[in-house]
Amino acid sequence: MKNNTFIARSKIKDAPVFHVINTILLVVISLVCVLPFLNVLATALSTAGNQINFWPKGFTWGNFISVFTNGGFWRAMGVSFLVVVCGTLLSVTVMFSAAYALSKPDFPFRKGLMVFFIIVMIFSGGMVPNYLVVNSLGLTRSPLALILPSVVQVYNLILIKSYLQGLPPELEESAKIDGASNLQIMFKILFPVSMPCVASVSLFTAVTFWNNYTSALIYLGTEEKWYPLSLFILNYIQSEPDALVGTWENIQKANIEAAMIVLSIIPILVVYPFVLKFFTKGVTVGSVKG
Amino acid sequence: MKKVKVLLALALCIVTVFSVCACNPTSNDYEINYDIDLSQKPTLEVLMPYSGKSIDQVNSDATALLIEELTGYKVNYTQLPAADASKTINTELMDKRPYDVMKLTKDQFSDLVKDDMLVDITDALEVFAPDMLANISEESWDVVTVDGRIYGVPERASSDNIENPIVFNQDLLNQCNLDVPETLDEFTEVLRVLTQKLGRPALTFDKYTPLVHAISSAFGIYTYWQEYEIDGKTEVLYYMNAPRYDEYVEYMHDLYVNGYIDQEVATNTASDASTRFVNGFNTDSQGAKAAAYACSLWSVTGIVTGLEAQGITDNTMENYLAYVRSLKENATDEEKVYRSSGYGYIIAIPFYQAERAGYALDWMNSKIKDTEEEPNFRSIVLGEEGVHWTYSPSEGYLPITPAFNEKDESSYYITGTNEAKYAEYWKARVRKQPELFRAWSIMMENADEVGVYNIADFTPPIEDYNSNRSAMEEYAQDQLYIMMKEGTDKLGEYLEKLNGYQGGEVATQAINEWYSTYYNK
Amino acid sequence: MAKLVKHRSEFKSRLKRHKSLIPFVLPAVVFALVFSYLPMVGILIAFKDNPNFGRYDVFEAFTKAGWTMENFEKLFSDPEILRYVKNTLIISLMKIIILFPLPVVLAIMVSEIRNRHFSKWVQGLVFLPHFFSWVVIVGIFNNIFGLYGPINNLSVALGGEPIYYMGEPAWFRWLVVILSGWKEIGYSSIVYIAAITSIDPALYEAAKIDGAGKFKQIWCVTIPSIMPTIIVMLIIRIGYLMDAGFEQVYAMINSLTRETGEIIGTYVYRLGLGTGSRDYGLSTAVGLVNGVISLILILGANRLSKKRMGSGIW
Repeated sequence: MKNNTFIARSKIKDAPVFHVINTILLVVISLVCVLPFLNVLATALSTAGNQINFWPKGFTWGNFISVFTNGGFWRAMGVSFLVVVCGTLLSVTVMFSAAYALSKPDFPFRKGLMVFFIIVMIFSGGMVPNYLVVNSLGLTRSPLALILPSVVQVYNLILIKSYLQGLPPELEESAKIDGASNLQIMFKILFPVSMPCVASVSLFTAVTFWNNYTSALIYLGTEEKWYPLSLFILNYIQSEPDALVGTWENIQKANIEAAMIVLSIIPILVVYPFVLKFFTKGVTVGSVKG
Repeated sequence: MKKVKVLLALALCIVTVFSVCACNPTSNDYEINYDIDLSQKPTLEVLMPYSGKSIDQVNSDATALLIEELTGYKVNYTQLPAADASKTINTELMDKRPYDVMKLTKDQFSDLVKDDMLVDITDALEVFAPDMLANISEESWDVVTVDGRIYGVPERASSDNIENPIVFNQDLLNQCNLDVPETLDEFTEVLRVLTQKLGRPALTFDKYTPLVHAISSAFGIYTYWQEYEIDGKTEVLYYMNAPRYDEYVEYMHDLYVNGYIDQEVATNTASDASTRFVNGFNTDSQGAKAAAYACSLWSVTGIVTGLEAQGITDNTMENYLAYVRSLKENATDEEKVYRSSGYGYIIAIPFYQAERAGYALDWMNSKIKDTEEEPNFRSIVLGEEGVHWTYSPSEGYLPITPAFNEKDESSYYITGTNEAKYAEYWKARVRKQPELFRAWSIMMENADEVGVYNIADFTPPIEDYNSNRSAMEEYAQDQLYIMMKEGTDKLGEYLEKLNGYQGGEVATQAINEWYSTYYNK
Repeated sequence: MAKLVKHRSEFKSRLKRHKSLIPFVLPAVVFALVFSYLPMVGILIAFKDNPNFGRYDVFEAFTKAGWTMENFEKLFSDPEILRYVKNTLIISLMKIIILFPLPVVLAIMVSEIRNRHFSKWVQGLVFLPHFFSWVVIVGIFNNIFGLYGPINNLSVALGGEPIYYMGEPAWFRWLVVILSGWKEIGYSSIVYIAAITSIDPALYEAAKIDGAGKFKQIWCVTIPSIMPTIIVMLIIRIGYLMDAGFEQVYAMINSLTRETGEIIGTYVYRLGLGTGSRDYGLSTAVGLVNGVISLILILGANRLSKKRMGSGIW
């Protein structure tokens, strides 16, 4: 099973022209994907007012130093970590167990529940009713407000469900004969086997939590100590500096923004390679039967 | 089957929502408690606008601590986020956060008054805040008065400044042997030469200022809402409806198609525009540059810092910066120019905190007090004599650097101003930066004769005006940028939409109605 | 009648068999009920005359406001809203027509790579843009498409005229599509790459023996094998037809491009939350109509796919 895209297909040695063109195109596509990031990095390392392509001009570490010495930035990053870790654990667990039940073809409420979840995907009560519900549950102004309303991720549910349906039924049946309960089957057998899928879905969920600033904006109000990194950066971008205080930071604002963006994506880049290897095996949608 | 389930689910939700709501007892109306012991001095919760700093820094600022010492009230400040501040106010109030005092923008204030969210403090002012009544002018109270009742404390900041110059790169003007322009024709010519010299469009500004006051003045449009003589009648009109608006737009369109205006003005932030102007002094730079910048006077400090970063560190910047506050059509025309009213914030109390309004007013009152024995207001704004400032009979209050830096944020903390004195105190802040003071002095020359105010600055909340205001402003701004690019062909159509769909006619009528009663009074 | 009884008893036996599974799905159902369905009661605001939520408690504000159909009358008679609907549909259709096939193509290209390391690098790089928020991405591209950014530098170096892309109404929709493509094509290809991975290699061998060239193999083996995946993805995509990408457009739009760029999402946002308006009623009404259309679309697409292809999402 391991890397079968490559092993199985690399034996097929044909169409050299096709492969050369394919390789060139993919290199170009990859470059297009990565060059914009080089532009941000170069901006983050430059002084204001320079025309920057992909190399810094007027090189300075000052922008990074300014972000590093900003206590708020680190606190916000801590909040983001907290929300991402707790949120992802909760969301993936809840979605996985729901997907487990829904993956049984003869589970009685299956069709109804799928519609039930699809509606969640499409309809929303709107900002005010959402706020009112979260508020009457006493969740506003706390990081719980960033986590709980986003637990249900329907797309992930569909992904996990498809993955489980694609597993050989013998896996479960043999365990059932041994007298294992549903809970044991799910955690001891299916969960480990589904690692590729769980890892991919976890990363998707984590990224959703990492980037979400709208809930922070609506639910946290003025509770600054719980602002996540995304809102912290947005706040910085949208603030007009006090004009009467002409500091170096004010002049460098655009470059400091770039430095913040660079620093804010590093955690994702660190986790990314570990999850990447699961991607192509963990995300199946096609094998669903109606 | 599916449908039944969905309906059942919905029914369940409705039941739940009703039970959630039913827990909250409803209060019918509020009442100010006059029977309070002012010596108790409870901790006050104060909601502030975004400061650009962390809330811990806001709470530990020297001015904040000084205010606690002077008033005896412990204060806990909270700030709104920069992103979607008005939305956050809505949710904070829905949540009934216990703010004793809120520092609001005029728009936020009008919105909340409309929804009956603020305490009527008319009577309480007399009881708790005699110094505020004495030191804030009648004109200012009118801004917060609806149907004869007062709903907030107006904060009139600084002196009424003329503050929208076009700043020129004097160095480049010298290199091209150009004088600072006075008329439109001269201005066009200057831009032409500067554009050629720079290899970039010479004039820049930011996305919020398509109405460049210094230029529109030449067409008799000084500000957003002003009086016009139309058929012998005085009428207050929005700038887009002004008689010579089309000429202004045509002129800007010409500059634009000739390549004299920065193409990116519609997306520039103030710091983008500022960076471009500063970059114009850097001959090596290949980036975006400009040689003239229609800015706010307060950008000057930032510009000077930028120039210093480039090694231009003269004490006076006379050789580098030149200011024009208004252009004229003909050199002999009488000069008129927009003058800011200085109304920045309005301080108000949410209705559910009426019980404690006395403490809030008492706190604000003691901040505004400025007598021989208790110069609280002066201490808050300027600090201590001999430490932060000195007084010179000829020049007024002079800052002592670097101690005065401590007072950088002082205006953030004031809640209503001692109007007669503030104009003088405030100049110390301008003096902190010699170039800013030079610019300010140029701008303010015979200000009383040339200044024209924005009528809308003085209106109390008027529902027909306030509910259409943001839609109108946005529309007018969008259309001005579009016409700057495309010309005035569709002006008629745009005006029709402004006055109809965007509520321009209703708003204009409301403002004129208020204007006629107010100025006949 | 007999059939119904049989159906019912079968349902009962299935229920009995899977009773122990109900707790597994329960947390998800509860979360959905509380945080998605409960707020949906708020859709009733669409039939109300703008309740004053700030001044009164929720329930009181809601009962105080009168019932009205005015919001819907306003919605359906407003020429501006029609323009936003048009913009939404144009942008959304452009995204589907141009961007939907590309991840499939990319997936096929990636699956044809013969060097494992190269494949890993390519995947790593093309998935990457998905992981950044729109605020960040628009910030980056404002610079890249800026008058003095790399794109214009290049076109000027090649002798072209610089173009202010972000301020050209004619370019706006294309920019929306380009940025959206840049962000999502790689990520969307993941499911297809996964699907291609599970194709039996014997099928390719067989095709080769039949003398099929590379393109023929792709056309006759790869595409049919991943068709079910393509269909499911298309159904989900169609469900989002009325959503042209609020966060993206909101971050990109400016004075010059509102004409071609304002979509229903950004309009609802401005309407509900812009200072001075706070028209909760109208804003909710627009959202409701939008949601109903989406639901009809996705249910229809699912039914069609089941009928024609024998499979759907549920």
